[in-house]
Amino acid sequence: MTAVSASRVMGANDRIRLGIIGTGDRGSYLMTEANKCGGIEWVAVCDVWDVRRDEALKLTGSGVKKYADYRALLDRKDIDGVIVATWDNMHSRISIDACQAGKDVYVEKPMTSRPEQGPPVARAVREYGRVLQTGVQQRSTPHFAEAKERFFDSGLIGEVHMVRTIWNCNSGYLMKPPAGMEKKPEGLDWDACLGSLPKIPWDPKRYFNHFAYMDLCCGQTGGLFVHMIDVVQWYLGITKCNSVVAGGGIYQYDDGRDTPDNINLICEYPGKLVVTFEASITDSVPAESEDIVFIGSGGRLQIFRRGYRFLPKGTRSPAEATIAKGTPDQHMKNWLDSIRSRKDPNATVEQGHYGAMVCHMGNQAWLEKRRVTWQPEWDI
Amino acid sequence: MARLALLLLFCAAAGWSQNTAAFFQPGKIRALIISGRNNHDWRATTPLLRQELVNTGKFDVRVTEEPSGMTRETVAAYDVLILDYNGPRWGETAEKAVEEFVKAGKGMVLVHGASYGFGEMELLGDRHVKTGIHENPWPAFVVMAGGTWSAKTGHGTRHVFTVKYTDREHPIARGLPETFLTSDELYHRMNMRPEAHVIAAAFSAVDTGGTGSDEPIMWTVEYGKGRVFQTVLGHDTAAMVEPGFAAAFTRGTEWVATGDVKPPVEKKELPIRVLLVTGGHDHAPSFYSLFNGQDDLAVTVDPQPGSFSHDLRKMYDVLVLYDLYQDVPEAQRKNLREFLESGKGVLILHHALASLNDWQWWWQDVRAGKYFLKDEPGHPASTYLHDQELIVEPTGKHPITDGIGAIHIIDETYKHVWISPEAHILLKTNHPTADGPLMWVSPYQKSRVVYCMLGHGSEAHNHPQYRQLIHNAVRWVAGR
Repeated sequence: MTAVSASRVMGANDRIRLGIIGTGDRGSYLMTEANKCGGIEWVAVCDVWDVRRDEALKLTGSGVKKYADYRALLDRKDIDGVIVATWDNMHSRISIDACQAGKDVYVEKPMTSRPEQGPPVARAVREYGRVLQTGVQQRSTPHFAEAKERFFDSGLIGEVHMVRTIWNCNSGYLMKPPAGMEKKPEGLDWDACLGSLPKIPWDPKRYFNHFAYMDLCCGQTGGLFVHMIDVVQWYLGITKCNSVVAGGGIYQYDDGRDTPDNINLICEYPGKLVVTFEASITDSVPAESEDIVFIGSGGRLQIFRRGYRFLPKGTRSPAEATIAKGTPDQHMKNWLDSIRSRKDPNATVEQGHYGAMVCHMGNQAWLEKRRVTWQPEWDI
Repeated sequence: MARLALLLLFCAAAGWSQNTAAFFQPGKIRALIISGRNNHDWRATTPLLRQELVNTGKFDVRVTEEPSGMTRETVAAYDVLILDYNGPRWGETAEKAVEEFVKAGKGMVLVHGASYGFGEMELLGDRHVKTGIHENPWPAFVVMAGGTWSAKTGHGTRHVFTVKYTDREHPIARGLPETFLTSDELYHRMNMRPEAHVIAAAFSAVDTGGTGSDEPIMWTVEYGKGRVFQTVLGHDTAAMVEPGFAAAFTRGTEWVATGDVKPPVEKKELPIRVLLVTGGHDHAPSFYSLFNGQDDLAVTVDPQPGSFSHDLRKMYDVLVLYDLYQDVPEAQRKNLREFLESGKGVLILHHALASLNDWQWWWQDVRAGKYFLKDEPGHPASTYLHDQELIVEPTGKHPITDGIGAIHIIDETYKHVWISPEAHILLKTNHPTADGPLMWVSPYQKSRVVYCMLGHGSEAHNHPQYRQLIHNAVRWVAGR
């Protein structure tokens, strides 16, 4: 890995000049996080919808440029880094263009919406020497790093041959268009949303419930599993998944979506490891809806954003568990620090590719009703 | 007939595509060039690639300029696909068909810009116009190609450089010189896959805008049971007529189709050496194209004056005369006469009917015809008229007119010409502005002499039947 290069050498007191592409819900959240970190200066915002662009200015302050076309934002010479929070179908294209334009990138997960997009992004980042962070914020959330050290680096959990990942009850896949959206808003560039996808007429369901559509946002695999499998791959030091099978379908919400509302995957990795994934929007018990369960010969670790719980081997009673609470994520700070230090961020482009790949294999397995194995053209 | 019917029935019953043997030249490798979109000048390069393959005598070539929507049936009859293409993706059916085609044991050849498409690069239109269109990569293509463009790939200025075969044992390179010079673009920093086996490379000099390293120029890839050959050479027709490019391209295509490269197809006969004489009368340059592409002839032009200054017997097999010249010195007339008396023949065309009009042996015995440029005792001056619409018909059977049939042609007519009564007339017309006979075989015994009146301008020179007539005449005069 070569050292990353900077467009300008940044002093400790220099503000990092930022642009953001995609200022919807997630984009707004990331802007708030960046504002909390400080040491930044907003230069430009971009969104396909003028209403969203104007909303974004509330978080940046005035004097910030607004763009409808992300390429015009990337043409600017006074931006150090861009945050990419568009739909998934444009993540890889915008990330590559940003690297070529000399900007560092924070791109939301999943890094790609199709397998073949991955290698070009990895190449662009390394060849242009850019800092690219993918939005799997667990990598910069303290209790995750702590658990890794405590149970994995120490060897306490023993050999892990099975991991369960569970994310039920996620209402992000049940978004309804607000009233009055039957006609496309004037200032919304629908063609730009679609990008290189085939052009179709305005569809408010697709615009507002985009997570539930395969081409746009990859469904619950690309949206949810991607976070969890990234933790698994991080903790166990694995990258390429050998094969994935899938089951499930559209069982309850046949509302025009083309991704399953109930999806189950079994993923086989080298080194005698199986990782499962389950996601169903029909579950209605939020308290136990998300979990990663590492089943090791030395014990069992359950961990996600609310904290973790470890049961050493032989434990008979759950009361004996070691418990820790959840901590806030520092992912944006880690990215901004990496921009200054030019070191790799916590979630690199290679890890982003491998994490997204399992999701794509899962989707392919469900769509084609077959076992999908790793193809050499996905290597980086 | 019954057996043929049975065979066809069997084919139909077996569900075989009928798109085979009967429609292709027997014994040739069947190549399909895919073109129609390329930021390079495919309208000129594709016909040239086709011609280079045909010239080897080993290939029967088709071209498709609309590959989208291809199916397995489209490619089934071929042994090798050649891509002079970069542009939009072909659609899943066509792409799967090509992947299966290669995997099953056939193959693909990629030329120059073909490595640019189907990857991560922005589509470029005609003349390198940026389209702003990015498509998702076609992953199998990237693997088959063995090397494709990525953002870091480029080339310096077009210059002359040395290509060196790094695997001289490979059938494509075997027997060829180790290096060759070529004027072309030198691609650098191609995104190479591990499966690519490089067989030729070139040093990319920094002062030409290069990298200061050796860069791969040609490589092969095994894909399933099939083979792929790629050359980064071939930016335009000038780069493609370079002998180094042509040899590698044709041998590479043969290797992909058959797994080997055989020696060149032997020519069955030596070319006929022709002296073409013009001068003394203006004429259209299309006349010289009469002999294009006829590789059974080796034609030299030596216009008057002085065309007959050498011992022609040693140098030529046939003379073709299209001059109008009177002042030929004695020494040259001697050479001309000795040529004919040695048994070698002459084809005399159009206005050469008025050459050497003072030399009776020539116009009476040899040419058996004379166009009188001025009134002479016993014969008025001949006349001419341009741009007449003629119906020309053969009189009887002769090898020269065999297979040509009646000709409808715009040409010049001569009237009041003297024609020997012993001339054997081959072609005639009933047009009122002509005497009637248009082409004849002279009664001259010692060698074959033929005269043809047609051939004033490009309507004649470009006319397929006229071209065939002249070609047949040259061959007949040469005794073939």
